Amino acid sequence: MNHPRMWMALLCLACALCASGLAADSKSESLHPLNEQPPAKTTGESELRSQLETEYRAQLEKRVAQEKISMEGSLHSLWMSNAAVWTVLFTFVVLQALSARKRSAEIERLRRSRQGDQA
Amino acid sequence: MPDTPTRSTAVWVTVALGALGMVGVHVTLYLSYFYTPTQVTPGTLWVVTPDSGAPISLYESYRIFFIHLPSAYTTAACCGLTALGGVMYLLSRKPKWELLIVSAAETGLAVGAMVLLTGTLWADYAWGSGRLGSGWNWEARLTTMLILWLAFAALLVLRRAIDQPRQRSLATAVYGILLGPLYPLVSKAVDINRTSHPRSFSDLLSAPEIATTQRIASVGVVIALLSLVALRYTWNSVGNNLNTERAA
Repeated sequence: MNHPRMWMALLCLACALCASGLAADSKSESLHPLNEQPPAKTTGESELRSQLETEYRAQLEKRVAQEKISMEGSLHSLWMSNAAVWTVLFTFVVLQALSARKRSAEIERLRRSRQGDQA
Repeated sequence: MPDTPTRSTAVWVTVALGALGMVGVHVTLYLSYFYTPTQVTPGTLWVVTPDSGAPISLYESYRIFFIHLPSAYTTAACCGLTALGGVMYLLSRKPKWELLIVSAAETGLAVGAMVLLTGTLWADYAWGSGRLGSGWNWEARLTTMLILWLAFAALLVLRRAIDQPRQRSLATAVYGILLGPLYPLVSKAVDINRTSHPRSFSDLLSAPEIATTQRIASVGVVIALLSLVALRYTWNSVGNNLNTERAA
């Protein structure tokens, strides 16, 4: 991997990797406290109970949905960060191997030219 | 060290293992994040708090095993490769076997560090107080793994300390053979006494999603990490050729 552009590409990938953490658990995904309003007074206790239950269920479902989005968002960020780390590592492995091949060929060429000079 | 030929095969083995490993690791990561369930049943893995012996719910933390276990398998493979390289070098005196010992030891050092780090980070929350390093409790499994890691480092330091090439090769081969039995010792260390470290993963793996992911991780991540052995082999081989050419 002698080519400077290869190093630049790896450096850019590493920078992108560092920046990927910024996407993790963004503020918009964070949970907010419930905005609870006292229920309006009703005459019958059973009606009040039913109304409270409906409100509670609605708020609970909203909160569960928010939590699910937050969880999926953080998992996605983690997956992306990890995938970036391993991609950089194995791109490095493959490029190093190809560079070794190039260097071997260069050594062979030098050896042959030296043997030719001696002959 | 005598001259070694151009390792074209080693190059292509490295490229193939690296590419396959990249795919394997990504599939493993995807499955471990999006396919496997949260493990909430206490006691399905033999992990307990050291004081009370109460079973622990692992929740999301068990997902680290998909990297931790294959890293441990690769460390075991590196141990085996150093022993194999040592025996083959003593029998044939071919420099390629010495290269294999060195490459396996270098990779064993890196991957062994991964095992120690992932294990300790997980244990900090599984049976430690959550503070960094609190999971390290000097139990037999942890201590023998640390000894193995230090043994890989010692092999590489020993080589640097010997100037005479023939002596260096012989010492490397003999040390490589001695490294071989260390991993079985690490493996059996959990049976020595009561331990916080899981003895068996069979209960955890009874969940089909976890078992499938673990099988894929065992192949994909091990291939990925073994590509590091192939890479170091290729690179050391080229380095030797270069030194020979410079000396000529």
